[in-house]
Amino acid sequence: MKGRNFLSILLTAIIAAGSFTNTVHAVSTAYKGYIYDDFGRSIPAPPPYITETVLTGEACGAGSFNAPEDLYIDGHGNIFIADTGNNRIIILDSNLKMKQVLKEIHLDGMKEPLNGPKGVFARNTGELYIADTGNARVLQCKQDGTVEKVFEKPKSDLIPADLQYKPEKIVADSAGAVYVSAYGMYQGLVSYDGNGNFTGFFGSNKVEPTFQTMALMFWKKLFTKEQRQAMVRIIPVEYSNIYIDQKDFLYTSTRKTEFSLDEVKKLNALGVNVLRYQKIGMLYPHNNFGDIEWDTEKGKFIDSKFGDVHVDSDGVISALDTERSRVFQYDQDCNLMFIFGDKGTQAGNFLQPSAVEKLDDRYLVLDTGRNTITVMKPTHYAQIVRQATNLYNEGHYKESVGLWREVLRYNSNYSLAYKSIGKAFLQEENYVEAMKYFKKGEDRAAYSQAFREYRKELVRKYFLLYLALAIAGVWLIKRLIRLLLDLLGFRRKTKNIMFW
Amino acid sequence: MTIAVQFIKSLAVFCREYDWNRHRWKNLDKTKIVWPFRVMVHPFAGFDEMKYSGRGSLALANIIMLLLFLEQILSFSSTGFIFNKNRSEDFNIFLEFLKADGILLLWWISNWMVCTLLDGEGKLKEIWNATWYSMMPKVMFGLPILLLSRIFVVEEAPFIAIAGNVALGWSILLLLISVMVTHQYTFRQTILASLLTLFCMTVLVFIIILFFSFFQQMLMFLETLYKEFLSRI
Repeated sequence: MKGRNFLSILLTAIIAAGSFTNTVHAVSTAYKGYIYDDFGRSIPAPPPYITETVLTGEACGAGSFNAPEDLYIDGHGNIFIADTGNNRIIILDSNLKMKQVLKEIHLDGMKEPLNGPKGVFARNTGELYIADTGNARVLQCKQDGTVEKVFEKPKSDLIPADLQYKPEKIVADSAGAVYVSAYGMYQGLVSYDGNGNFTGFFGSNKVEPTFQTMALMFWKKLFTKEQRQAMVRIIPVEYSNIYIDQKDFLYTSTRKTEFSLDEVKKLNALGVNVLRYQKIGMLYPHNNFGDIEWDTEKGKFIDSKFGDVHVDSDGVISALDTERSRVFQYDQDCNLMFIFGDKGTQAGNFLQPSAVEKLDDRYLVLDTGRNTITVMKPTHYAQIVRQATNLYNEGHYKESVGLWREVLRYNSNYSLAYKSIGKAFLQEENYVEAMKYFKKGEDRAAYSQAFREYRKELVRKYFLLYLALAIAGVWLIKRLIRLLLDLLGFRRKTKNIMFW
Repeated sequence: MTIAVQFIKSLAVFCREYDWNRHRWKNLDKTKIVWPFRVMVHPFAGFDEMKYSGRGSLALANIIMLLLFLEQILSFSSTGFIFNKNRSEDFNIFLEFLKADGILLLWWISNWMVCTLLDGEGKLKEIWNATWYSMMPKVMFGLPILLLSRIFVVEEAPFIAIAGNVALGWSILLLLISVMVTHQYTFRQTILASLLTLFCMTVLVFIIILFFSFFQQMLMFLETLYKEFLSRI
């Protein structure tokens, strides 16, 4: 009787204990989750986003898409799609159902069709901006199609008259100023003020000094004017896409850079890149966005080519790599958080992605090649990483420790977790533990900080001991040298062959 | 058969007649042990006496070479975390040997080749002793730098850099002086000989790379030949 009761209690206790442990949920996706560790090596990681749905044009009630090239989601959850091949703009609501289709615009009382619109943007106050690429203009209109302003090709000494104006992507800031990224405009973003007047170029890329360009510059100094005009012009690369955040910072993406650095930039009002990243003690440059290990194809290295950039309200930067159809997500310190996506035709793979946007907590990727929008929702892993990173970025290191430990149970290679736990220990002045975690997280700068304090502590505690040891050490060394010399047969008194 | 017997007989004679007592501790010229330290602070006199008074020791030079190698291996894993960017799975002992001693071996051979052509008086063994003795500062500074790197912080990195550079600079200075004294050159001839030695080193490296790739090609060819042969059977 007693034994049976005991046994049943024991069994229920075991089962009950099992239900208290947190189980780690595994998910399967069309892509293999991976991430880069501190050394710049690719290692497996839990996949952060899984496919929720693949949206075609028919599914949302607007008729199939035809090579759509831009996607934008405004602050109210309205989804704007530039259906380039069908010369129309489609507006969906946040439930992915069709709200409106814009095939023609009303300009000066006339109805005009759009011609290959490659870019679309909407401000939260309701103005819609369309890059009417085929007609070489950018239109600001209301959501019913009535045009309010037209931004034509700017007349400037810097722009040759025969250059075709092909505006592709647009953003507008809170003051109404419009920034346009045009095809072939290497001078930078074409910026207009709120009234449609051209106000100059904004923030171009710099020409990167490679060996070839420097050699070319050297030869140019020696050649005559005619010879120089026949030579290749050294100009910077243009931006592939732009995004503006709530604070009017412009984020730009560049398809390809010479050294694979600074492909994503955050420009302030002066056009200066203000994206900050850790420089001390890093084992690979942290402003190297995209894949750090490259494939070779026919002997040439293939780097990531960025086609779009998006920043959400937490400051998470998503950069779309069109080369291998992946999305890289970074926080504001350029720490790599996630990588998702792959090239292919499965649901969750993209063939020719051209835009990435965020709706609530899901990411939408526009696939121009397959005329679909893939909706990816975050896994539990992604959710806890984002929560923990938010706390870390706000400075709440102690509160984030529990979340980071859970992240480590999913991915024990996630170095940001170790760094954050280390910072929490550093805050409460537990230097030994902080150093231990910084070592695991390969954070040499922070380890140095913690070590400095620990050293101070040690010296303060054991100062007299160290002094005594130092004096004893010096005396010992002198004695040893004397002993060595005596053994070798020299007497210090005689000076026949001596060395000092 | 008889050749083998003759060979063994001559070997036995050699072992009997050789003066093994030369190598006993009490018969060794112990002043030679101090010589690397003397060369560090009195290079001209030191190298001169190494050449003419026979105070250079082959064993000691080899020990210095070994010490450099050991220091390199030790520093790979034991430098302080803040300054250590090595991954333990990337440890390659041949590479560490080349990092420690490779350049000097190249220098030794190139120097001998160049200086023989430039009428230098240095013999191969003398140059060997001289180059390794001139590396003594690097050996002496190696361990303290290692210990300091464990204690220092990022902001104090320049001190470690200075210490390393002082050691290296001192060693290179001694190397140049050794060239001057061992081959009995004037100052100008030393500069010329050193530059030519450096050039010869690059040529040697180029030839070695050529050899490597040639050998690789040949091995690949033989391997494909072998595989084809097997698949034919």
